Amino acid sequence: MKNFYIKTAITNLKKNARLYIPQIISGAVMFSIFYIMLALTTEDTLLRARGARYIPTFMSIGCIIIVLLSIVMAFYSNGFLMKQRRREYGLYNVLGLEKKHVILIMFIENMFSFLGQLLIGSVIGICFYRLSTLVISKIIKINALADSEFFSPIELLVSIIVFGFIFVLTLIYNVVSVLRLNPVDLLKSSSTGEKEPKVKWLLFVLGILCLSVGYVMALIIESPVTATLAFFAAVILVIFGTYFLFTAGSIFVLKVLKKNKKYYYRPDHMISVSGMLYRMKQNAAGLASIALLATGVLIMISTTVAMYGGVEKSIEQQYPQDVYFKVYIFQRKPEGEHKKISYDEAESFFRKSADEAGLNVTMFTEEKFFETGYILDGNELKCEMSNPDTSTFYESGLSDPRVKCITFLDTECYNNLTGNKLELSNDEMALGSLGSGSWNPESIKIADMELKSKETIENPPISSEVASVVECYLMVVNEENFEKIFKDQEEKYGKGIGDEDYNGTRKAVDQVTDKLEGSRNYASQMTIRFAANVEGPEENISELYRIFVDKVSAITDDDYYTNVNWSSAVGMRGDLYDMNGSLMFLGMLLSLVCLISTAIIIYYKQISEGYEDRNNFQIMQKVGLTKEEIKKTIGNQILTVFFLPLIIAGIHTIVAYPMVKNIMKLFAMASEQMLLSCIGIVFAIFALVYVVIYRITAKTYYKIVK
Amino acid sequence: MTILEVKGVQKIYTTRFGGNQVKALENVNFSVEAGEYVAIMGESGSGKTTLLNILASLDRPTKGSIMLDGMELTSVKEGEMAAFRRKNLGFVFQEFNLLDTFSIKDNILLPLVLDKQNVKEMMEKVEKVAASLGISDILEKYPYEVSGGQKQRAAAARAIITEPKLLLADEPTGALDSKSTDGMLKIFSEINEKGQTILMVTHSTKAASHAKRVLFIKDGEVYHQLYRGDSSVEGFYEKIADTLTVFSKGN
Repeated sequence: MKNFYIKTAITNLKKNARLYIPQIISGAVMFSIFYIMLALTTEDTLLRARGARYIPTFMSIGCIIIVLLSIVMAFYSNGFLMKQRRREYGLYNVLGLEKKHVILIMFIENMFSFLGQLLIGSVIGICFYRLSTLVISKIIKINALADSEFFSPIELLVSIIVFGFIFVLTLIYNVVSVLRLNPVDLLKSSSTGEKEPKVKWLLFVLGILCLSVGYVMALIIESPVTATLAFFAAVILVIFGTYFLFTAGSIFVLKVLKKNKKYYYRPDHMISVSGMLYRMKQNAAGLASIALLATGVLIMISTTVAMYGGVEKSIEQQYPQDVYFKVYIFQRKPEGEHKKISYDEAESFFRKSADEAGLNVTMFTEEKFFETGYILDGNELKCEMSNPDTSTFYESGLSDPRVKCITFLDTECYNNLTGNKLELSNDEMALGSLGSGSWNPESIKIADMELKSKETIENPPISSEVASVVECYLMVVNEENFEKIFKDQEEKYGKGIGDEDYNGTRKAVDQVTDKLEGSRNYASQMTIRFAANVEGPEENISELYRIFVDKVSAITDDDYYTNVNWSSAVGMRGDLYDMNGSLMFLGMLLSLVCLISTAIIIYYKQISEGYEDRNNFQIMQKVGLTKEEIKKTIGNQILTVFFLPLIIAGIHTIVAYPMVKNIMKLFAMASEQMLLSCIGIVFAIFALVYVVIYRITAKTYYKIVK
Repeated sequence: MTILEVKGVQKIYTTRFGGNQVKALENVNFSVEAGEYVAIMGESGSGKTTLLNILASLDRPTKGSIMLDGMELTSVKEGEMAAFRRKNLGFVFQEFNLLDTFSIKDNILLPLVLDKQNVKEMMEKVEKVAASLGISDILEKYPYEVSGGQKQRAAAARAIITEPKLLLADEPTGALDSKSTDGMLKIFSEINEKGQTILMVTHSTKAASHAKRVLFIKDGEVYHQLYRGDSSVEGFYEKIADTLTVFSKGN
């Protein structure tokens, strides 16, 4: 007897392969990605590797997202299957099987599907796990993980438990729905007819309102830093607007089309418009979800890829020299007093350390500069920030193109850094752009002086952290003017607060807080640091750091301790690749999951519609519709329903672009073209995958209808 | 005037893997005059559905000729079949087969829309047909909002709006209770009285008794026919029943 149930279940699975195969595949992919992410969080070789700090954190976040999405998708596909099979289960009941037997058959079917998902998922997961570790180590540029594990039994077990739990949830739902089955209702004709949907005016108006307010906000908010809340509000408004408009707006548009008799009473239009009118009611939410998922994928991938791709360029921009460092010597008691290491000491320590690390020092100097913001008025640089809402000049610069950020160097320091022999008199200066700006005046007025431009600096030896946010320039002046300009901006903006004041002790923190009160942080402080260029193998630079710290620490006694503030292009590169690479990897995996969810939603939607439409098309064929016309009509209909979300996703992305761009600037994205081309390429790939899904779906749909 | 002439029609189905051949129609000959109301009777498996499908140009005969109003049906090209069907033939199905997504009006209009006719003319035609069948006031409603009888009328209206040369009905009363059957048959008689040629396939004696002539089909051949002549519906019913009894005993 047991055999009978198993046989029946297997026959049913075979008969309904069209429904079960997508469920098994999508479940398997979800499972495998979950397993991979989970195993990556504890991958020893990754944890041991330097420069892979972010992978475990990001992968844990990914795991949570996948579990949530898996629950949603499991219930979606399960609900769909139950709806399709309810009649069949009812029929078993009528034919004499008790409900517990029906449940047994259903249980065996579900179990087979689940085991299939686990089996295929495990195979995919194990096969691709090592590949992902290799991909990660490539992406974040650490040595290939030759000895990474092939298989993590504990993580696999945890994955099975997590997905088993989801499976049990859906199973409970199924058992309850079989228990509540009333076979008589089921056997009655299912086509009782649905009312023609009405336009929900309130939703329609709300949708337009939400979407337009969200769009306008996205387009006019320029500083995402100060308007984070507004930005989230815009995102939420757009989400609601999309849902409302898909529900109410689509029906409105279709009704308008239907009212237009000339348009409506044509073979393809009539069938698709009336078909979609009914369809939209059930599918609006699904289509809106697809549009939002697609938007998410587009923005997620293109931003992470753009950030990743911008690493080299931002390193190049931010690190004109290889190594920067400061050395503080702190007094232990009383706390707070500190002095700086002398130039000669620093240089000799550095040169010795470099020698030991096998590096050749090509340049060593002390860099003294300050960076401040001005409003350009005519040819005068004025110390006045217009926007009272912002606390720093570069934020004002986001919305005010007149804001220029100038970094000042004196001639001596400039010559040391570059090896040039520039000389400037009291009424001369040299100017160079630190970013994309091309301002190049004959002369400028600053701090009540008029300075003529002596030459244009082509390769500035210094960078600005805010170069991607505002127009930044380097201005070299002689020593006297350097002091004058520094005093002038300090008088007008108030004394700046910076790391000269902050030396890591409580006393300093209090001083800083006192200063902050009532003043805005427009003024900047003088930065003094050592800069050096070295030649030799890159990996030796971290060695250099260790040796240098050891040497410096050795000079202090019990009363003092040293603190080395060190940053190098190499270290920065590692950090950036680690973070941006991990983020990109997460973005790719999550996008894959989103794409699969999208495909499943679309596929099931088309199938259920196929079954509903079969009858209609048969009638139409008898009334005199040719097969070609049917094909064309189906094509039109699916095409519209299919590509509407893609188009909406495109529009959303375009509107979101300025805001995304501004946010990306804060993350040191290299260039706008990079982001633009990323969005373009990702959109193209997404559309391509979408077309493939469309083809498969349309084929299945047509098969069913035929 | 002869509107339909069927001569020596044979239909042989070959099973999927070659081998067996099944003769669905052996040698069918009959003709229908314009304005006639003909019923074709036969049991399941007698070939009547095959015959209807061939007449409806949904299927092609293996041999023989079918002339519809002087046109040879078998020479119409595959690609023109659908257009031919909507121009010349009207259909009434076992279940009304109205589309739930269309209003009654749109359901009736469907064949004209498929034929890409002028919108203004379509509207005039639908008004006229609806008026003649007494369903003018439910045109804007949907199939699930109207009664069974009204659905029948709507289905009939859809069949005759193209002014087809021949109205084909496939078991039009098959799925109906006796009251609705009466209603449907009344509609057919009304339409026929207005000059519409009707060819109905049925195994119901009651339905056949409303026709003016009944053809009996068995084993793929027309083996007998009865004319109603002056007899009443009831009288014709008995005649048909007697005929069926005689022939089934004869077997």
